[in-house]
Amino acid sequence: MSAPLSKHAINWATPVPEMGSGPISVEPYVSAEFFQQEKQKIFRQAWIEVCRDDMIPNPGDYQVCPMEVWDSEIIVVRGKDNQVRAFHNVCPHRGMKVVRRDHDESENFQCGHAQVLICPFHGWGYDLDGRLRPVMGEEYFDKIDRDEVGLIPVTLDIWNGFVFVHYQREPAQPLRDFLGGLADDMEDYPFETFTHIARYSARAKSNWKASMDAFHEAYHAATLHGGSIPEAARLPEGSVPTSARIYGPHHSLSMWAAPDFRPSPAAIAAWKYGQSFSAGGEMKLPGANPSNDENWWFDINVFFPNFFCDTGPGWYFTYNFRPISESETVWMMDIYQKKAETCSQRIAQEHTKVMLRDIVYEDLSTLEQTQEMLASGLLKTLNISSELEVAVRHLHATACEWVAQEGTG
Amino acid sequence: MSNVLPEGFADLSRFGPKWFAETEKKRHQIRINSQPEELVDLYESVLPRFDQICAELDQFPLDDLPDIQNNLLNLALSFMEVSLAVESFQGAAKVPYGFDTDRWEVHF
Repeated sequence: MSAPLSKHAINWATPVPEMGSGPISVEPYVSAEFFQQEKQKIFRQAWIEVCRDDMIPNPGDYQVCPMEVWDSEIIVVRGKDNQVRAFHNVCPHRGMKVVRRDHDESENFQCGHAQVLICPFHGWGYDLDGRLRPVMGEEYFDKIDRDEVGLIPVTLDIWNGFVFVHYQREPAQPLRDFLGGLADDMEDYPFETFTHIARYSARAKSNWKASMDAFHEAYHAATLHGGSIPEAARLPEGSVPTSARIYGPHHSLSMWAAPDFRPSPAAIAAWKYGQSFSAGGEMKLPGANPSNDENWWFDINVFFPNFFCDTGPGWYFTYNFRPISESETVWMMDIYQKKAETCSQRIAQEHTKVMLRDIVYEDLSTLEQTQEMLASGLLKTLNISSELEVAVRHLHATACEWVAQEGTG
Repeated sequence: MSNVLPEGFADLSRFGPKWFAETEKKRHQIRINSQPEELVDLYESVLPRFDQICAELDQFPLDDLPDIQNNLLNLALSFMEVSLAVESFQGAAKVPYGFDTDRWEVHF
């Protein structure tokens, strides 16, 4: 059993909007109708993060990103002019996917390189800017107007290397305005100096918001992670964020690192030569710990609707939650760390990966069991803490607010 | 992949080639298909040699390691792979009550 949790003051570093109080409704987590509304009023109205631009560093590099919430799939590609663009992955000839997936390719990590994107059905080819090239047998077609017939462009913008796309041709808000104060806080974090060290993914029978809720509160750590991080159970104060910030639809929490945290032998070995995810990092990086908390561990940064970018001392990781239906979500995690210069640093780096991965196995374990019971209809409401689970309430309230908006459907 | 290790580490060569796998994807598959006593044996054998392993490997550039040093590097990475299983999960190869490993993809 966990030790009792004494009351610690959370530093509310921004105004907290009116989000109601008391129990929250279960319906947004289980309703197919609500999910259809979310597809229209959230996922076609918000900027959606899909990948980092340094994953496609060279002209012709591309990545395919499923966009189930748009009933589509997109190709993000770097052009010969070095500009990153996105297109729906559809050939306007007969509707085939221009980039197809082979048996051994993951739907969550399909990338490649091409000078020309060629549809595998009839060989229609497209330049990297989406323009249709000469078509085989074009003399048999009625005139093809290349201003009309080409790859369908997707609105795209980049912040700090993160590629965001928008369903609307002309979004109501530019990307940077949408990202707002949370991006202000994180602006100077040196993302570009990090390297991608791991990717994990899983498809879970769980609502996307309920899935995210497993990752933006620390209240669960002392219990659920009592096995993987026994220190979390010994020091349950870690269940309380040290500070919280709410910026429009986005939010951020800072996590507490116990000053007398007792790392395991493998973590000690990792810290001796490099970095570990376990508490104890000395590195001070700009763009992290925005409220200057003492005993800071890391920040949980959540960009509405479905992107996490958690920043720590020498590592950061991201989660993307891709909704499939009201009760199914694809979760994807990418871990980034300062590039290892030596073998011993490389070994230390492995500890960050393995520790995060094994902890997240525990986080994901709750998703399907929770969804199954939410769907039973037994509970109409959930009894959350307005302080410890402020992010749960904020995501719930924000989703309800966007769905209630008139005229965007 | 041989099971040869650098001079001074011959006692650890019994862990090869199984624990000399090149990628996290492979090392994780090996871990979740191993017995607790194997994980504990690997952990307890490598931990006291950890500083010596780092000293040996840091004589070489990370991106141009000779084969036998590369085996030692992969053994050290396997040590990290099993570390939580031994330190936190009593040697359980899979995270107890964790998400289904068959539906969890380690991409590389």
